[in-house]
Order: sequence, then C-alpha cells, then structure tokens
Amino acid sequence: MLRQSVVVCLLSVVPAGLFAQASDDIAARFKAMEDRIKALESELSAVKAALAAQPAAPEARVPQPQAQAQPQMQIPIQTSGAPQLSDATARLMNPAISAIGNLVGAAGHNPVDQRQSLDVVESELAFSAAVDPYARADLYLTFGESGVEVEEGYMTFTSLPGGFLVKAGRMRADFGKSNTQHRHVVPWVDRPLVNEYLLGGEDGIRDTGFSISRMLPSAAGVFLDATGELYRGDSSVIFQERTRNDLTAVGHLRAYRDISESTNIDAGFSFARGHHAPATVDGPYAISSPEASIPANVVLLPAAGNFLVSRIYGTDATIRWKPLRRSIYHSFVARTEVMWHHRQEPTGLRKGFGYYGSGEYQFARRWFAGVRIDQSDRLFGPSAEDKQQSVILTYWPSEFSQIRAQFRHGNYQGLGTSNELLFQIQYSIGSHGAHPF
Amino acid sequence: MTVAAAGAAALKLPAKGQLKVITTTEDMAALAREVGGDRISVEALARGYQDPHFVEPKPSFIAKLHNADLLISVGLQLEIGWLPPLITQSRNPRIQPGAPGYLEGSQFADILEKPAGGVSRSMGDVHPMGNPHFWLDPNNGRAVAQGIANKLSEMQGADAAYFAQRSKDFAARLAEAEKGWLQKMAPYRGRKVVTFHQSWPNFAKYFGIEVAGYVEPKPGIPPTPSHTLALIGQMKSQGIKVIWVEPYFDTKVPNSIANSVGGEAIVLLPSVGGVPAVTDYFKLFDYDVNLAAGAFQRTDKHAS
Repeated sequence: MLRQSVVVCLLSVVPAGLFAQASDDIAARFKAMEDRIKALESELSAVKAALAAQPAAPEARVPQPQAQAQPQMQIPIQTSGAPQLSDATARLMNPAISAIGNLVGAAGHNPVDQRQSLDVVESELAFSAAVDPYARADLYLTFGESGVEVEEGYMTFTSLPGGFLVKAGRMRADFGKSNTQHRHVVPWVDRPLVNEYLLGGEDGIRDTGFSISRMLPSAAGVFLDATGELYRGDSSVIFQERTRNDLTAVGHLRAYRDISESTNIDAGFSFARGHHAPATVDGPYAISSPEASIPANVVLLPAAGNFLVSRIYGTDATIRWKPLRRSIYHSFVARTEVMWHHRQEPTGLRKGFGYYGSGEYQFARRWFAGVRIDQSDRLFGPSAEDKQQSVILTYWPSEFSQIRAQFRHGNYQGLGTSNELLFQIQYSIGSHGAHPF
Repeated sequence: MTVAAAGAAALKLPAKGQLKVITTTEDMAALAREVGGDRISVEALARGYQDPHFVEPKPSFIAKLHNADLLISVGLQLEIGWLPPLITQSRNPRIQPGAPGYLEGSQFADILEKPAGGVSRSMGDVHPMGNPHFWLDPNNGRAVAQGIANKLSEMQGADAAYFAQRSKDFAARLAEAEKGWLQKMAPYRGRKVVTFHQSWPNFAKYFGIEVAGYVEPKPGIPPTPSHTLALIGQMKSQGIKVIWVEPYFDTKVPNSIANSVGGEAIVLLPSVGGVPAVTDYFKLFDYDVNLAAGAFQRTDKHAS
C-alpha cells in the first residue's frame, strides 16, 4: 500500500515526456527493493525461531555449577509487541501525580491590580514520591497561559539523625503563613496587599537553596519548631543577587498549642534578609500580574557597587476551631499576619508596614464564608498606604473542586477607590493530595 | 477485665522498655492494646467519633509521631488526606513508609469493594484500593491483631512469647464473644438496610445483612433531594426500615427519611471511642450489635 502510494507520488512529479522511460527504470528498482525486503523478512523469522528455541538449549548441555543462575542474568529480549512484566512493575514506581487548574476572573476597575478579566492563572502539575528509604521528592510545575516554571522542586531528607529535617531545591520560603501556600490553597482569590507590596506578590520569597528545621524542647504541650533557610538570593521583586555572596537568609519560629480537641492556636515569627538592586517605578506599582514575577513598570537598576540590603520581619497568628463530631460541617479559622519591610535605598532606609486579618467560617458541609481586611505601605514609587476590604463566599461541589467569589473594596492613596468582583473556579484531578492546614 | 486493665495501663506514662505505638485510629489502638498489653504504650491520633477521612494534620500529632517506635495506620488511602505530611514532618526515621516501624493494618485483612474495573472521581470520593473499614468484621480484627503481634515480636523479640500468648488469648475471647453477637443478630439475617456512607460492608457481610442503598448519592457527596426521594421510594418498595448513620454525619436527612418510611435511623459506631463507654474492640461490637438488633426489633413491632 505504502509502496504503491510512493510510486504514485513519484510518478506524479515526473515530467510527462520522460514518463515511459522513467517508469520502467523505477519499476525495476522497486522490484529489486521488494526482493531485498522479502529476503530480510525471511531472515528475521529465522532469527525469531532461533530465539524461541534458545531457552531449551542450556538444559541440553552438560549441567555446570552456574548453569541455573545463567538464564536469570540474561537480558530479556522482547520478541513481540505484548507488554513485558517489567512495564507493569515500572508503572508501580510512578510518583503520585495530580493536576490543578485555576481560572480567575475579575470585573470592575482597579488602579493598581493589573489582572485581566479572565485568566487561567495557573495549571499546576504535582509529582511526589519517596526517592529512597532516606528521602522523598516533591515537584510542582506551574503552567501559566504563556510559560512554564518550577514553582517548587525539592528533596526532603526524612531520616536524618538528631531530629533534623532538611530540604534542598527550589522552595517557597518558610516565612509566615501565606508565603508558604500555593495559589490554589489560600482562602481568597487574590493575595493580601501586604504580600503583594512587601513580600513579592504571588511569587513571594521563593528561591533555590536549603532549609533545615528541628523541633525544640518545650513544656506545657507547646509544639516549637525552628527553621533556618539559605537561598541563592533571587526572589521576584524583593531580593536579587549580583554576586555569589548575595545570599538570602530566612528564619522562622513556630509555636503551636492545642487549647482543646477542637481549638488550637498557632503563632510564628519570621525574618528574612537579602539583597536587592535599586529600583525605579514608572507610575503606580502594579500587582498581580500572573505572567511576570516583576511587574512591567518596575525597573531594576544594575548597581555599580554592592547590592543594598533588605530585611523583612513578620509575625503571624492563627486560631482554628473544628468540632470533631461535626468536623465536616463546621469550622472556623482566623488568621493575621503583620510585616515590616526595611529596604535600603540610595537615598536612605525605606520602611514599609502592612498586615491582614482574615476569618473563614464553614457554615455547611460545602459552604464557607470569609472576610478579610488588609492594609499596606507601598514599597516602590511615591510612598503611600493602601487599604482593602473583602468578603468571600466559597462553594465546594466536592473535595476536588471549588467555586469562589470575592467582593473587594479598595482605597488606594492618591489613586482612588475600587469595587471589584473577583471569582475563581478550581479543580484537582489525579492522586489525592493532603488537605491544607 | 484484663482488657480494661491493659487499657488503663496504656494511659499511664510509658515505662522503660515499652514500645511506643501510635495508631491513626482508635480501632488500630484497641487491637494493638489487646496483643501488646503492658509491654507497649498506645495512643491514637484521631478520635473514634470523628470522620477518619478528614482529620486535621495538627503539629501536636507531629510531636507524638516524633517519639513513636511504631506507627500503625489503617491504610487503603483512608488517611491519605492527613497522614503523609505528618510522617514527613515527624523527623522520625523509624516510622517512614518502608521502615520497620511503619505498619498498615489493611495488609492482614480481607478487603471488600475492591474496584474491579477502572475508577474515576465521577463515582465520588471512592477508595481505589477497596473499602478501608475492614476492622468491622471480627475475622479481620483477629487477623490484624495477629499481624500486629508478629510486628511487635519482631521489634521486641524478648517479649515475643508474651505477644503470641496475648494474641492467642484475644482470638479465643473474640471467638467466644462472636457466638453471642451472631446469636443476637441471627433473627435478622438477610435483612436490608440503608447506610449513610459506605462504612459498613464488612459489618453487614459478617452478620448477613444486605446494604441496599446509601443516604449519600455517591461517596463524599452530601444527600440531594432527588436522591433522597428515590431512596425513600426504594425503601418503601423493598420494605427497608432501618438506616445506619456514622456519628460524624448530620442525622437530619436520615431521620426525615426514616420518618417517611415509618422506620428508624440509628447512630451506629464504626470505631472504638465513638461514645465514651465503647473503650475496646469487644465493646464496639457489643454496642453496635445491641443497637442494630434493637432497631430491627422495634421496626418489626411497628410494622406488625
């Protein structure tokens, strides 16, 4: 069939005058090729027959000490299209794979938030598995509408002596709470202003490096956990590196206590120190661009000398309530994060302060209602303080999908006010991930 | 009596030489206590009255796992939403999956409802490896207890004879108790019931009860009006009067269904610790058998 069509194709491009002569020539050549293929086919079937007969051969020989082990050591030769056992066992070793899709929409005008009316802000592909008895690996790839990146990809060493836990790779830094959370896990459509302005927005402090943590001895039922992290020094708009010494250091201390079986309190202190290139901003600082970690109107100036230093301090507190007997119907989480960002500028030290307070109440098995107030100084451009208030309603058709609406009122100093409706549709397919806490 | 004593001993601080055992659920803890006696200390993470699918991965659990010698989970992905991050965070090499101190109870049990063909979430939150509520069949309880005893012997060889003896003793006492339970439920063999969630295939099979429908339209999906109406129709036409509800589900819908069919919705316990009086594996069956038999008896009376 293929040969015929090739012939037809070839013939169709041959000029008409040469047709008769050429066709004789080509036909002869194809005849020769056909003969060769037939010869090869018969050769192949002879080889197959020989292979099929082979396993019987060793038994026919005089038994030798190693004769029994030999057949197992031979590399199996696949002689047909049927899948071998090794294929099935290879699949067993596949990591847990899941995919998350996240469609975000916005209606209404906002002077600083540059998001578009509709955007598949992120499609996340997550892989996780044990690497060996000593470590596991987690890899999160995020696909925006126009690019792919490794959101996180790290190895966790779970079996170290001394009660240490070490992670190595690309990670969201352990600074506060919402910086550690992926976009699809936060209880809002957007990120709070303080994260957008003082902590690098959606990307936040996220870099390549090491993390080491250890539980600290404590009394009175308090769980104390200390984390120290060292990164290359690149985190969106807030930290950049010029030399190999421009590392970013992050520290986090977490204290947790059960108040009762249904109520607990979780508090933390965070610190980050890194370097940055001086920046200029053209117009108001733009936030929430899903495609770029540095907003288009922020221009980083390559400094002649050393990069300048930034320090960020943060504290967070969370109260959770979940009655165990009705845990699937009712719960409440209140959280606040407060941050101070001290950034050296050529003209002196620039200080930014911001916070958010958020509450989310689950009033039915699939329904959550939330409020959030947030306020933050801007870190770039003319100094100003912006405020937002939001109410959020979330519906979970099942554990694997989520529909959310957020009404957001904003007051942006010198730029006016805004009233917006943000909405979000999310899904999760594939292996069942851990529930956020 | 010995069981209560063993339970009380386990509440005390672990003595020297005791293996520290942490279990995900109170059922695994109850079985471990039966065979481990005073040579181990046992503590469960989840409470018996909470939905084991949706346990919060609290940091206080991390602290407990950090010091454990042995972690016993149910397995079959029952704890998939909360246990894996706790194990990773535990900083305890002994209990990592694959390490000697990690044990899944399900490997010793006869598992029902293993999906034969492909599974998809369009079927709801199905368990792709089979129904994880296997401990509600005493035969599985016995097998899991034996499995735990073997593991304990492997970890603490000096007490191997002790664990083997306790396992044998447990099996004998269980066999004795089973006679009573089976006798009590014997009049109701072949009856049909409706349950809220798919927690009861092992319990129902053991007592010869048929689960004919569920209050949930699909696993993990809350009741819908259309499904509820269809279920009422089915119960009426098949003469089903009894609904079994797990203690962590809202009883409003099951009660209203029961009212419309002139039946009864009862809160049956899938786990030890579901009510304070149910402190061990035997009391779990005592409680459930009494309640289930009582409900069949009462609804029979109403009907006649």
